[in-house]
Amino acid sequence: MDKSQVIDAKERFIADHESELVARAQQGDQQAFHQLYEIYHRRMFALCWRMLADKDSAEDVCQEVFVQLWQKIHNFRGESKFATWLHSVATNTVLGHLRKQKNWLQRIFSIEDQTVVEASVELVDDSLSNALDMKIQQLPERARLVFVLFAVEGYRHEEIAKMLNMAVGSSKSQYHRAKSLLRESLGEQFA
Amino acid sequence: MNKLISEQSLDEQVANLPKEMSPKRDLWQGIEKAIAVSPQLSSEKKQLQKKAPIVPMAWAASVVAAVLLTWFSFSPQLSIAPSNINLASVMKKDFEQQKQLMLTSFGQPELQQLSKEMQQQLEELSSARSAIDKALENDPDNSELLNLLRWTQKQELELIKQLYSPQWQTI
Repeated sequence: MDKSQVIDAKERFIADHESELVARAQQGDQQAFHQLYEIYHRRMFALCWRMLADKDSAEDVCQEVFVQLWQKIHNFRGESKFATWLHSVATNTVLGHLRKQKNWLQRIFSIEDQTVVEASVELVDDSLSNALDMKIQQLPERARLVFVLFAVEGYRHEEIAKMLNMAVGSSKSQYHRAKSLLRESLGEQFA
Repeated sequence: MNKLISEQSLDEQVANLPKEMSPKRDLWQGIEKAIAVSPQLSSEKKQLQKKAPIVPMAWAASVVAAVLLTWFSFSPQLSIAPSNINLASVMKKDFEQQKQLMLTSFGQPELQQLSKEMQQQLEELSSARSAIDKALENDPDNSELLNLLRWTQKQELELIKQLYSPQWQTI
């Protein structure tokens, strides 16, 4: 059995058992919840990591995502896919974390994105093997959040605008800004 | 002129981004510990209670920064007769003792183990405190500055307490 078959089998297994695991977790079954964690924590960590651009924070927030999930899982009514619902829980948790942790001096003095770019360059995680991920990490915060939510997570600009408390037009322009910065930095890399 | 990759190439790279990444540490242990003490049904209320101190912290920090900014920008040079007791140095000494006591009670944690944001917050509170200390050197009896110093010290202690109190985030 090659790797793709293993992945397919795993996905089928997840699809078959997911609703049962969710139902058990909703009844307080921690073993079922642990299985859901095993299935989803790498995906949630990737989301946290891309949005936060900081591995340590991503690990902490990923834990918070699953604690929130445990507390809120009884709210899941099966109206959407569990994975979609979980992604929205995770996205809200990350955004809540960012709001809480936002540098208060930055708020007071309204230090703009340029500073964030400079700061984030120093924080590049050299353990990343994916060139695009490395460049995403270097984007200014708002451009990075919009890009990850739109291009990677598949949210619509209307949804992103609500989540990030910005105008739809701003979400679109941040996305285009992110794309331009990425095309440029990836171009430089491969020149 | 900088070379750009094509939009198509970027789209392909986005589509090929890994969907999963593995955290370096085992996150489950902390989660397990947290969910053991947070029942599902009554959890939201608890969570709100747990998180409530963060908001006043942000407000407090913001107000300190705003007052400091206003103070250094617009304050007139006050001339108040110096007292014999330097209250600021007593407060500083008392604060250092309290901070040490608190850090000892948390097992002398390494600040480097905190996330960069947390380290930054602590550093900013600390530098705000240093700025007030410096202002007090020129105007040691200024009650507004003394109040500000006391408040900043309190926020720093509360932040340290919050950072090291959550048991489930640190394994």
